[in-house]
Amino acid sequence: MKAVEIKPDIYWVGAIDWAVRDFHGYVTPSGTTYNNYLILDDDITLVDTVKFDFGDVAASNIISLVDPSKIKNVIVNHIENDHMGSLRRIMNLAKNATIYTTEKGKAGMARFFDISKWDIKTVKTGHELKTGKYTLMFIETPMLHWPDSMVTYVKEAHLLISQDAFGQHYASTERFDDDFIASASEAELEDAVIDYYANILMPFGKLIKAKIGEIKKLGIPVDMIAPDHGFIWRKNPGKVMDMYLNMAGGKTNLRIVIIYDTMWHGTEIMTQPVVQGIKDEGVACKVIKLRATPMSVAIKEFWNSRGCLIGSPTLNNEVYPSVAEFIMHLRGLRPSDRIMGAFGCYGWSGGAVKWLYNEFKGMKLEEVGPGLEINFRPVQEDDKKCYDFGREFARKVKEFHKKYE
Amino acid sequence: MKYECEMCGYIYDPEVGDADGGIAPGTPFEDIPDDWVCPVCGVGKDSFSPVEE
Repeated sequence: MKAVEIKPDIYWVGAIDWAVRDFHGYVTPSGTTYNNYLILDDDITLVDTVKFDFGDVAASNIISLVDPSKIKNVIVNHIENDHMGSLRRIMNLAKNATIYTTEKGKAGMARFFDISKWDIKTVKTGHELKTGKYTLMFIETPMLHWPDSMVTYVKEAHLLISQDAFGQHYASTERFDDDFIASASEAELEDAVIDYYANILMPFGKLIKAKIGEIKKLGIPVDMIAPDHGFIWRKNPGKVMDMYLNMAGGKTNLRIVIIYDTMWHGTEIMTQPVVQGIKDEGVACKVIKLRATPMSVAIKEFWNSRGCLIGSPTLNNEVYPSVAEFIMHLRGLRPSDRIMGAFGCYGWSGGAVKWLYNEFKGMKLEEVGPGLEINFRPVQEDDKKCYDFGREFARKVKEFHKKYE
Repeated sequence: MKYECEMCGYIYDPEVGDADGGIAPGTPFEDIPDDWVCPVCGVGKDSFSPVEE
């Protein structure tokens, strides 16, 4: 798609990736975009690049606006491949450009490219770069979400170019929040924000609260947030900042998600009276079957819910492998403010449910024990056991949720 | 007592210190200046927790 002016003489020059569905292991059902921005000021400045495969698209957008050899500055806010992938291509077109990045950015960049002939300046929070009528200010954001990460604030434009923060994986002809909401819905936009946060930013809630607080304390007005993926927050940048603060502060829906897998349908059959018990206690519930659902969707649904029940059969004395995969993803994401439980069928020695409660302890999550195990498959009498288990869990979830209201 | 960075897992060992960060070996975590950051990922002291031995 063609370049789009987002502020006077500041253009989106990125690319739309309609087809990507596997984003380093995350499922992106709506594709994504690689956003980067060109500032046509006295010193032509490019902020970020795009994934390598889309280098031509971004280059042609840049060329439609300016002779690229005139690019004076290239800002690298983040060194991950989908942001920095086309840097060498850009530097071949802009031979005299100076790169601005963080210290860790420069060190990491050397692992991707031969940087020996490039002029690279490292910056810290507060460093200002005048491009003409605009002044760029850099703000380091370590571990939001990599050590090298920073964001760029264009002072006179009140524009925050936020690399991954506030972004969404969503390919669209629309570039702005209000246009997308008008053509689709606010719920879809919110869902994309939550999906991104849950899968990538979940461990960093403490840093998010601190960083947004730091930005507010700087007193810098922000009336537009331009992330490197998805829609630019033109109409309501405050909304995505509030969503982030809420999620970082532990807010979520009073809802339960059951995430399970099954071998001969025993554990699956258990879910049915469990769900009925939850529903009769007045709590909405969603059921996710692993191997039928991508891990990143399961993670999003976990994040959308106050309570989570994990259902697993026991295989060779171990938890079922797909369930272990889910727990491994969850461990890395360092969840908090959620309450857990586990259930499942077993043949002889069991083990899955015990392993799960151990994991909940390791993740320091609230739990409702001891869980429910049934031998081989539920028989008629087990219906009530499962129903009561679900109902009791829902009661505990409602109680736990009160502290977040 | 060792301290672990909650964000990246780096362990600060007081017996080793952090040479690049100007912290001599033998410096307890509590004595490290407040503006020191994790050498691996750059977050502040407030993201560190004591390691239970």
